[in-house]
This record gives sequence, C-alpha cells and structure tokens, in this order.
Amino acid sequence: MILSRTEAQERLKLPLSDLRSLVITPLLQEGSAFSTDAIDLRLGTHFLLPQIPPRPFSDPTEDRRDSNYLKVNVPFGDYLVVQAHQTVLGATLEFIKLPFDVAGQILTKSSVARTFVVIETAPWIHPSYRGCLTLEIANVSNAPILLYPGLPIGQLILLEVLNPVKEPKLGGRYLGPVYPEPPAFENVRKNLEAIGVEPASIKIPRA
Amino acid sequence: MAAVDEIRHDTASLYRFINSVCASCDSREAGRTYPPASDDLLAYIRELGDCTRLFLETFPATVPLDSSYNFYRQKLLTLRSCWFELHQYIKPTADAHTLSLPGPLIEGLLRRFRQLPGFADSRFAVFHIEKLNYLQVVASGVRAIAGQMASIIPNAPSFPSNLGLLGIPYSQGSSVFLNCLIPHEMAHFAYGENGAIRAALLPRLASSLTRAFAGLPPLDPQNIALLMDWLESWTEEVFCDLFAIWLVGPCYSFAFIEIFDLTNILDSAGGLNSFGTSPYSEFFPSHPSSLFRIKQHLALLERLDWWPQFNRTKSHYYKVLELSNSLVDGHFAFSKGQNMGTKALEAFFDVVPAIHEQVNLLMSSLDTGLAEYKVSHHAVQEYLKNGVVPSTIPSIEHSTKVFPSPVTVLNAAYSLYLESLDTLISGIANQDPSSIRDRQKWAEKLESWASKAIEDHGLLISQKAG
Repeated sequence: MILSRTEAQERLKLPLSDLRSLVITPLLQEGSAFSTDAIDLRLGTHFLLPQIPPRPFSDPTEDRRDSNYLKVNVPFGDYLVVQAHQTVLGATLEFIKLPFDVAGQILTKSSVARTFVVIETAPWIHPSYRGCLTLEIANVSNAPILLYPGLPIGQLILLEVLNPVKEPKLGGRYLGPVYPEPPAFENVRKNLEAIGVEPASIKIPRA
Repeated sequence: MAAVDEIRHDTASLYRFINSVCASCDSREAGRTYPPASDDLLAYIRELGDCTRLFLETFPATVPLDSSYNFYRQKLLTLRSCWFELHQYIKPTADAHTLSLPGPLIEGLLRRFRQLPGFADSRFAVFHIEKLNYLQVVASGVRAIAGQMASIIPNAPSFPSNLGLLGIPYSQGSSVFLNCLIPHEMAHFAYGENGAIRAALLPRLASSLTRAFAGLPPLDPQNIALLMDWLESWTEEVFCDLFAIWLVGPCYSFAFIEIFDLTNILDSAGGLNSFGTSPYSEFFPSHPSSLFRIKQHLALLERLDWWPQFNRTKSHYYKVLELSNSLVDGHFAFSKGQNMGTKALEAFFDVVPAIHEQVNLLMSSLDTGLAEYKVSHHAVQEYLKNGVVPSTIPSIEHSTKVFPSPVTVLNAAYSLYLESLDTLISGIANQDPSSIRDRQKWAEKLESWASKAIEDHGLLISQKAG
C-alpha cells in the first residue's frame, strides 16, 4: 500500500526512537514538496563523472571505485552541463531515513523525464535505508542539458511492507552516504566461484 | 650594456614574471569551483597584473641617464618585491577549490562571525598550506602591498574590501573536527581589523611590564621592544583562543588538544604525567605554552557554563582540560632571555584578565549557542548514533521542528566522537569498535553527517516561507 501525504507527514513527526519514523532532510518548501502520494526530491551539489582512462573498461571484479570517476562540485546557483547520451552519478539533496516497515521507490519527475533525462535505474530503496540517494543520471536526448542543483528532480513513493522484519543492526554497503557513491561490488570473484565459475583473467587490448 | 638597455631588460623581465603569475590565476583545473572570496582574490590579482603590465609598457623606450634612471629603477624594485609577496598566495588559493575545503563548515562559521559588530560584510579567501598548521595572513599586510602598488600603477584595482586570508592544511579539506580550529584564525582577522582591542591592551601590557621589572635596573629600549613583542604575541594568541571558544564552543578546545597532542600529558591512571608536561608548559616567543592556553580555555568554558555539560570520566580529552586547572603560574616556563623571560611571564600573567575582558566586550552580543545545545544535543547525538543527518528534528511536542545550529551540531558530534564512537560502530553489522580501520571509517562518516547537517542548516534558515 502506498503511503499517503498525511501518513508520510505523520511519520516525519515521530521521534527517531520510533521504528516507524521517517526522516527527509532538508525538506525545503515543505508545503509544496508533497503531492497526494509522493514527495519531491531535489538535486544535490556533488557529482561523479565517469572517466574512461586509465583503462578502457570498467571491471566489477576490481576494487577501483574512485579512480573511474571525476568528482565535481556544482554550487547552488550554478549548473552542470550533461552532454547528449552522457551519464553522471548525482545524489539527492535530501538525506532519507526510511521506517522499518516502509520501502521506497524513486522516480524521475515527469517534467524532467520529458526532457529525456532519466535519474534512476535502480530505484528501489529498502526499509530502514539511510542516506542521500545516489542517482544514475542519463541524458538520453540528442542535445546537451543543464542540471541545476537545488531543483526538484525526482519523486519518492513510499510503500508499506507487510510483516516487516526488524534488523538487529544497521547494515548495507551504502550506509549513510551524503554524496553520490561509486559502485561497491563485493566478493565478485568469490560469488562466481561459489557457483562453479572461474572468472577469466583480463586481457588488456594494446593500442 | 647601456643603462637604458639595463632598465629595458629588467622591465621586460618583470613583465614576463607577471605574465606567468597571471597565467597561474587562470590555470585552474576544469570543473573546479571556489569560495566566492577566493574567486575575488584571484580576480583581483589578475586585474592587478593587467594594470601592472600596461604600466610597464608605458616605460619610455629611452630612459635618460640623469635623475630619471633612479626613478625607474626604484619603481621596478618596488613592483618586483610586491609581486614576489603576492606570488606566494596564488597557487595555494587556486588549489583550494570547494572539493578540497570544508565548505559547509567555513560557511557556517562565517554566518556566526558576521553577527559580530563591525564584521557583517567580512569574508575569507582560503588557501592551502603545506605544514599541519592553520594561519591567517595579516590582512593589513596584504592591503599595504596592494596600496604600495596602487600608488605607482595608474588605475590599479583596490584590494577587495573586508577580505581575510585563511590558510588550512592541504590534507584536512574533508575533516570537520580538526577544522574547528578555523575560528582561531578568524579571530586573528578580527584582532587586526578592530583597532580598539589592541589599543586597549597595549597600555595594559606596558604597565604590567613596568610592574614586573620594578626595583630592577632599567631596561634598554631594545629589550623593552623585545618584551612587548613577546607579550603582544601571547596576548593575541590567547585572545584568539577565547574568541574561538565563544564563536564555536568547546569543540575548539577538543581540536586544539588533538592537533597539539596534549593527551600525552596524561598518565595511565588519568593523572598528570610528570615526564610529559614539560614540552607543553614551555612558552615560545610567538606562542604561549599550549597547556597555559588550555587552562584559559577551561576558565572561559566554566564562565560560559559550557563545562558542566562534559563529564571528565567520559573522555580523556576532558581530563586534559580539567587537569590544566591544577597548574599554577610557576609551572610554566620561558627560557628566552634568562631572568627577562621569567619577568615577561610575570607581566603576561598579570594581563590575562584584561584579555578575557576584551573578548567579553567584543563577543557579548553573540549568543554562545549553549541554551540550544542543552535542549538539542541529546537528540542530535541520537540521530548520529543511528546514522542519520541531524538537520531536522521533530520537537518533543511534535508540533514543530528544530534545525540544530552549527554550534550544536559540531559540539554534539565531537563529543559523540570522543565519548561514544563505540556505540555507533556497535550498531552496524560486521563492524568492530576495536578495529582501528573501522573506527577511522565511522569517524569520517560522523564528520560527513555533521558537515551535511551544517550545510542543510544554512538552506533551512535561509529559505523563504512557503
């Protein structure tokens, strides 16, 4: 069941000690942030721009998280140019803490989507998640587009989970980020070996 | 080579030097942004470079070998020395882009600094320094260089008004806790700009000095100047410490203890380690002893009522502060000038109450933030222990929301770091509070949440009603 505006607002008022509490901060212009079944989220000021060098490919079996990205800070009032068919990791301005009995989904705002900008390819947010949401932003149009930090870019839908489980500890690889996070693949080789697959050694093409 | 050719050669050489300096102002990395004040500083230097080059181009092609020779030579000498001075700030400022600075923290501190009378329009350009040290370039010194050039170069731009220059260690851009030392550097700017503080303290220093040396053979002017120099340096340092505590609270003292390694004064039972205190008890010509400074911190923290908020059993940092109180004046030493050094200390101890008075005078209109801290710090720490950014907290009555101020966030986060990092780590799956690596990782996270809360606070309080 999708949480209504009223239910979401009630949960925002709960103390953190209540497992059902919801946190969305900073919730700017709160009066206009809510629609009946969704909450607008804004674009943050930090970005990770995928880089091709130093290697011509990205390999999840290697722990080279940061080196594949160029960090960029775009202050409020300024903008980031995303070229046609370019991708960039961004993050929501809002830090989110979901209740233990609520999952979330982030969707591109329809007005943004109509400029052929997609903000999420992994939109599901697990119960009890906390952090700014990393956005996989792609300009799939044929023209460059400007992204302005601080403008609403996505909407958060909250869905109640039946028979929720209270985890004894906080967990997850992406706990508490405040900026976009590069992928954190863990135990990729071990994972493949567990199903009887030996990962191939990488052959680097010579120039 | 004829004198005319020599001048022409040297003019071109200076022109070339300024060319390369201006190119450095322009050669910022793509995609980097800077604090507005840093942008202004670099733009100023760039414009000054343009004006200097235009001026050099007007040097006559043939310089007469009479009195004009010295006239041009003097101008070249002055300009060259001024540009040598400015040169040192350009690269460190261009390196200090927003990704390598604690931007939200500096902004939060600046908002408080601007609430002080006379500093509403102040701003700070920030540059990196190689040493693990923080510094404030004496603004009047840079302005004097700018003034010297303006007196020579027609239409030279004015040095940006109300601009201070802050130097922070290049490696500490992402740190929040250690950068709580920045208010001390802002205080140097305030001390330099507000002439009344110095004007009030100098006569007190002189009379204390006279009292300390009463009955002894008269001092020669050179020694008096040296003594006044020491006393004024110590006075300014203590003033800036107290200013910083008023601006940001006890987190300044915690950062001070950290950077000066003062926990080494403790023995295993939490008492004073008699072998460890002496290096920290020594005064230096430019700085008072760090333990003496900590003792003054404690005096102000007690007076402002911050101190009862911290229980000595919960952190060894608090023990350092508390133990400093047991150190009497005779514990401190200054080995310069033999007997003169001891007398200098005597004179300085006499003037310390006047430094506290001056800090009160300047700062008393600024709310210390303690009242809000008392109400909100438990909630802020609860949020942080649960991995949540504490920028919006529903009030106990649930009818309103609280946006904790930077002072509350910094002090609550720092004391959580000192007292209860274990609790935070214990609440996270597969993390071990006894692991140095895990402690480092979650301390960094804690700092990132505090920084985000400070940034959010700026947005939340400046948004229009809606």
